[in-house]
Amino acid sequence: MIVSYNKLNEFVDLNNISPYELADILTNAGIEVDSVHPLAQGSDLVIGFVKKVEKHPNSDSLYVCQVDVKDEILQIVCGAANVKENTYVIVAKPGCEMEYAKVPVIKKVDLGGVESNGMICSLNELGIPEKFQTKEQIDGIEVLDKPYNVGEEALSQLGFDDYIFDLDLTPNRSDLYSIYALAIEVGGLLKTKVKEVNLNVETDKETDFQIEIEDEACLSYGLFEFNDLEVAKVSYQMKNELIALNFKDRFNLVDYANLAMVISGNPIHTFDADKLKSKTITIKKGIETDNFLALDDKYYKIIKDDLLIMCGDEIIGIAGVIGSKSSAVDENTKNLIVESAVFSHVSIRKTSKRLDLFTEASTRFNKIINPYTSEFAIAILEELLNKKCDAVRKVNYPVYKPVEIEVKTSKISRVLGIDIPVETSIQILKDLMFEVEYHDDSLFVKPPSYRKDVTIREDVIEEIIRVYGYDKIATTMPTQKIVYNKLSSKFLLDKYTKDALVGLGLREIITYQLYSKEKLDNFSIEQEYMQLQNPLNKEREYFRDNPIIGMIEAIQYNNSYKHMDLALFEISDVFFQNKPHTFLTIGLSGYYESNLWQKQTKKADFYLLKGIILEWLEKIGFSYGRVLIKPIEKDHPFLHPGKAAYISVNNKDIGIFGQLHPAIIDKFKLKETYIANINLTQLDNFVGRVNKYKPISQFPVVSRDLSLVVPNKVNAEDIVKLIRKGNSKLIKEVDIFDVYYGQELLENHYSLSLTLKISDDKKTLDEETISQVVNTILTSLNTKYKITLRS
Amino acid sequence: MFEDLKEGIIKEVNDAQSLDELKQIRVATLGKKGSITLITKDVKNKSPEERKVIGKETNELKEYVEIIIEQKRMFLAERKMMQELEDDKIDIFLPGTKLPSGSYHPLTLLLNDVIEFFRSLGYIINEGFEIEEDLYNFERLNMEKDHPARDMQDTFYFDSTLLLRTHTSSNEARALEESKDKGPIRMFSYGKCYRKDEDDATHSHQFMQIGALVVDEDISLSDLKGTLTAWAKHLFGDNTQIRFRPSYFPFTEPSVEVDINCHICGGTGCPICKHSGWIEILGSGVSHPNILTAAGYDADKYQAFAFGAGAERIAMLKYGVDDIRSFYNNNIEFLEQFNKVK
Repeated sequence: MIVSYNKLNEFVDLNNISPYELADILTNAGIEVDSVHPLAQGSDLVIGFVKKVEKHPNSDSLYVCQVDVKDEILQIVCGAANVKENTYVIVAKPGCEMEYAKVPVIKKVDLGGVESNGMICSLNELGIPEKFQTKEQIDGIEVLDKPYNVGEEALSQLGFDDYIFDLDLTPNRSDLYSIYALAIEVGGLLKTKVKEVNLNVETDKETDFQIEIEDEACLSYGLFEFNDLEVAKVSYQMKNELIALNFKDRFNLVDYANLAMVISGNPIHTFDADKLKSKTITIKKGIETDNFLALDDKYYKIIKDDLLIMCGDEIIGIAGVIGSKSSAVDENTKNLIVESAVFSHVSIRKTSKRLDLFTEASTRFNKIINPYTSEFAIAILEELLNKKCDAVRKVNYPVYKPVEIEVKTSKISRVLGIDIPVETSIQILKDLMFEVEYHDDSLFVKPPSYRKDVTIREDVIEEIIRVYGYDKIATTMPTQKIVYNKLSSKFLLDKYTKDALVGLGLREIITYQLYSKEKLDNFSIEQEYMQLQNPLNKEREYFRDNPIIGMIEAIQYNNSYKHMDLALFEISDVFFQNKPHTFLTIGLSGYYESNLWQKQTKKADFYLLKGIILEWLEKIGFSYGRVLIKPIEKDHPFLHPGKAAYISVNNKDIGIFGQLHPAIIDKFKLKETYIANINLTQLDNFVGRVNKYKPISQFPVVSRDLSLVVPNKVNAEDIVKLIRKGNSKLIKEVDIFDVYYGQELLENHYSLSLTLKISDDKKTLDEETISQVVNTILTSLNTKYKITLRS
Repeated sequence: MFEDLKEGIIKEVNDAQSLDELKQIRVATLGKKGSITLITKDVKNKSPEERKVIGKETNELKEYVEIIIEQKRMFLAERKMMQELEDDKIDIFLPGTKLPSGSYHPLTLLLNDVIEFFRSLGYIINEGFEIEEDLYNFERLNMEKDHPARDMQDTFYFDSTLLLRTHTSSNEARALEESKDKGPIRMFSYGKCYRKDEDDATHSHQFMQIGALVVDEDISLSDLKGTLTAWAKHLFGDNTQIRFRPSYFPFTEPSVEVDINCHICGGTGCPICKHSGWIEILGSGVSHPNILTAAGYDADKYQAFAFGAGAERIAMLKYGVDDIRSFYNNNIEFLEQFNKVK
C-alpha cells in the first residue's frame, strides 16, 4: 500500500514530525513501513525561464540556452530536443545535489568549448519513474505547463516536495488500505487531531437505474449519478499528488475516482452513463465468453465462476477487477454512473488470480472491504468534483451495529504478564476511536466500524499493548511442573547415525525433496512419488520416494567445482506407500584418504563402503552376526550388478549399496561413484548403543595361517561364518589376508588365505588342543563346502 | 713403573675413531695376549716383593684402562647413534596424510545446539510430518479455507486436503489435539517446511523451521519474552537483547515479530541490520484462543505462547552465511567450514 506524507497530513495533523520518524512510529505500532523515499530528489532547484535557445557551435545535438533565474542569467548547455524559448523549466545551479543525475553534484563545466552553468532538469533526473511520464518527458527536459515564480525554490511550488511510504500491511489490517483510516490510526499514535469528514451522501433522489443482485458473492451494491460534468486535466500539483500515490494522471473523472478509492479504501468504478444501453444493472455469475474487451484494451476469457456486472445483456465489468471498454469513461464523458459495492473477497481473488490481473481495485477487493464506507468514497468524489451527487440507488448497504467486547482487567494482566493502569488502557482505546466503558473490573469495548479485525478480548489486549509499548513487557520464565520425557527412537537413530558417520570422516549434506519425474525415474523402483498440484516448475514437481538423486546432484555440483574427493551422507524423510520413511544415503567418490606424494592413497571402492556401513551398524548396536549381504539382480537400474549388494539386518532387507551403474555415471557425467541407500525405518527395533564389558583374557593368543582351495560358488563370508560357528569360544578372530585366482588351482576354484587367532579365556592352550581346533575346522569346511588345504 | 705403556695406551684410546678400533685396542691391552696381560704373566720370575708391587700396579693400570676404554666406547657409541639418526632424518615440511574429515551440516549443528537449549528447559522434541493435512497446517490454526492470511504462505498442494507443511506449527496443532488431559505442554518442534517461493539469496522453497509451544494456566507474553531472551543469549552471546514489534499471525493474538540487537555492528548500524541496529529473527505471540478451543482446550483456563523461526536465517546470522542456497548446494568448500564443535 502506497501513501504519501502530504496526503496523510491532509487528514491528520502530523505535527511536523519527519517522514522517517513517522515511519518508525508506524513500524513500532505494527504497520510495517517497507520504505520511505522522497517523491523527487534534488537540492536547491529553482524555477527558470528560458529566454534564448541557440544551436551549439560545435555540436548538432546540443543547445546553448540563456536561462533567467531572477538574480542572474545562466548560460546552460542542454542536450534535450524539446528545450524551447519562452518556457518555464526546473534549473539545477552549480552546487546542486542530484542523486539521479549523471553527476551527483552539478558543476560549472565546459561542453564542447561552451561554458555551461548548471542543468535544466528532466523528470528522470528528479527520480520520477518513467511509468508516470509521457514519451516527450522521458526523452527530454521537463517543460512546465504555465508561468511560475522565477528564481524561487521549484520542488515545493510544483508539488514535488512529498514523501512516499510503502506499507506492508498485515492481512488483519485491510482497513488501512484507506488513507483516512490510517490517518485515524496515526492520530491515535501521535495524539493529534484528525480532520472530520463527511461520510455520507445526502441526495434522496433515486436514479432510474435498477439493481438486481443475483449472486450472493455481491454483498452490497450502489449506483450514484453525476450529471453535466466537464472533463479536464488536473493541475500540475495534483498530478504529482497522484504520482505520490502511485497513479498516473489521465483526466479528472478517472483521477478523482482513484483518489476517492485510496482515501476511503473502497474501490469505486465509473461508467459513462450515456454508453449504458439499458437501465437495469444485474450482478451475476454463470456467463462464459472468450472475448471480453476490458478498458485496458485487452481481451479476457470469462468463465462461469466469475462475478459480472451486466447492463441488460451486455457485460460492463468483471466485478471488482476491471470494467469493459464499451462502458468506460473517456474525454467526452458528460454523465457518470459510479458504482460503490462490496463483493466477496474469495470470488474476486479467484477471478483476479485466474486472469493474473491485479488492478488497484482487485488488490483491495482481495482483502475484506469495509462495507460501512461505501458511501464515504462517493462523498470524497463529491468534494473533488465540487458537485453533489444527482441521484442514487443502494441495495443491501449495511448499518453498523457495533459488537461489545468484555475484557476483564485481570485477563489483560494474565495475557501480558504485566499490569497496565486501567486509565491508560481506556485512553489508548479512545484515541483509536473505540468506545469504552469501565465497570465491574471489566472494560466494555465497542470498536469503530472499520476495525472489523477486533472481535475478541485478545484483539483488544493487542490494541492496548501495541500502543502502550512492547518494550514494557517483562522477561520471566514459565513456571511449570517438570515432566520427564524421552527422546524418540527415530530421533536417537538419526543422531547416533550422524555421530557415527561424521566420526568415520563423512560429511553430512541436506538436499531438496522436490524433483522432476524424469530425474526421479533414474533411481526409483516403484515410481510412486507424489505429484504437486501447483509446482514452482517442472524441476520441482514431485516429492521424492528415494533420496539418491539429491546425493547424485551434490556430487555433480562438487565435481563442477573440481572437488573430486567426496565422502557424503544424508538422512532424509522420503514418502511412499502413503507414509514417510527415513533413509540414510551415502555417496563416495575419489580418494577417501590420501598422501599423494608418498603414493599412499585409499580410493573409494565397494569394500570401503561396505566397511563404513558395517562399522556404522556396529556402532548403533547391530553387530556383524546380525548383518547379511546378498547379491543384487543382474538388470539393476542404477547399480553395477557385479559390484553391489543388498544388506539385511535381523533377516530384514534394509537397503542396497555398491558402485553406481556405468550408464548412470555416463548420464550424470560423474566419476566412479559408490552409493548406499538404507531405509532406517526398517531398523524399528533400534534401542541405541548398549555397551557391555567382557573381561580381557589373561592367556596367550596363538595365530595359525590357513591357505584354502575353495570352490567358486562358496563365498568368503560363508567360510568365516562356518569357522566362527564351529568353535566360537576359542576362535577370537578370523582375518582374510589373501585371495588368489590362478590357473594352477583346481578348475572353478580359488584360493583364500586366513589367519586364525585362537585363545582360551581360562588357560594356556597346548599344541595338541590347537591342532585339534584347526583340524575340526578343516574337516567341517571339507564336509560342508568341499574345501581343501592348499598344498 | 709402566708410565710409558700407560701413556701409549691413553694416546691410542684418544686417537681411536671407531668402536672397532677401540675393540682392537682392548684386545691389544687387556686381551689374552694383550700388553697388560703379558706383564702379569711375566711376574712369575720376580721376587715376592716385586711381585706384590707389580701386581698392585698392573691391577691399577688395568682398571684405569678399562675406565678410559669404556668412557671412549660410550662416547663413540653415542656419536654413532647421532650419526645414524642424522642419516635417518626426513623432511618434516612435506604434507601430512589427508584424513577423511567428517562434518555435520551447519543446520544440524545449529539444531543440535538449539535442541540442547530447549531440552535443558524440559521441552519435548517433535518432528512432525513434512506432508501434512490442510486441517493441521491451516484450519486448526485459525485459518479457515479462503482466509486472507493463507496468502502470506504460498503453499504447495498435492490435492485439496494434502499439502507440504508451510511451518512446524502443524506439529503443534497435532500435539494440542493428541494431548490426553488437555493440560500443560512444553514442546520444541523442527523440520523441513516448504513455501512456493522462487529460490534466491534469501528465499528457498524448502527450509528448516524451528519453533515451540508452551501451554499452561498463566503462560504470558512476558514468559515468551523471557524464554526468547534466554535463547537469544544462548545463540548469540550474553550481550544479546531482543525487541518485540507488533505484527499479525492468524494463530497468535497478540502477535509480535522479534528482533535481536545486531551482533555484527553492536547496534550502531551496518548493512546486515539495514542500519537499524536490529535484525528480525522470528515471529511469535500468545496463541489465539481459537487454536486452543479447536483442540478441545478450555481457553479461559489455559493460555499459551508459540514461536517459529527459519533455521537458515538464524544459521546465516550466527555463521555469517550470505546466501540461503549454500545450505542446499552442499559445496564441500562450504561444508568443511563447519567442522568445529559449535
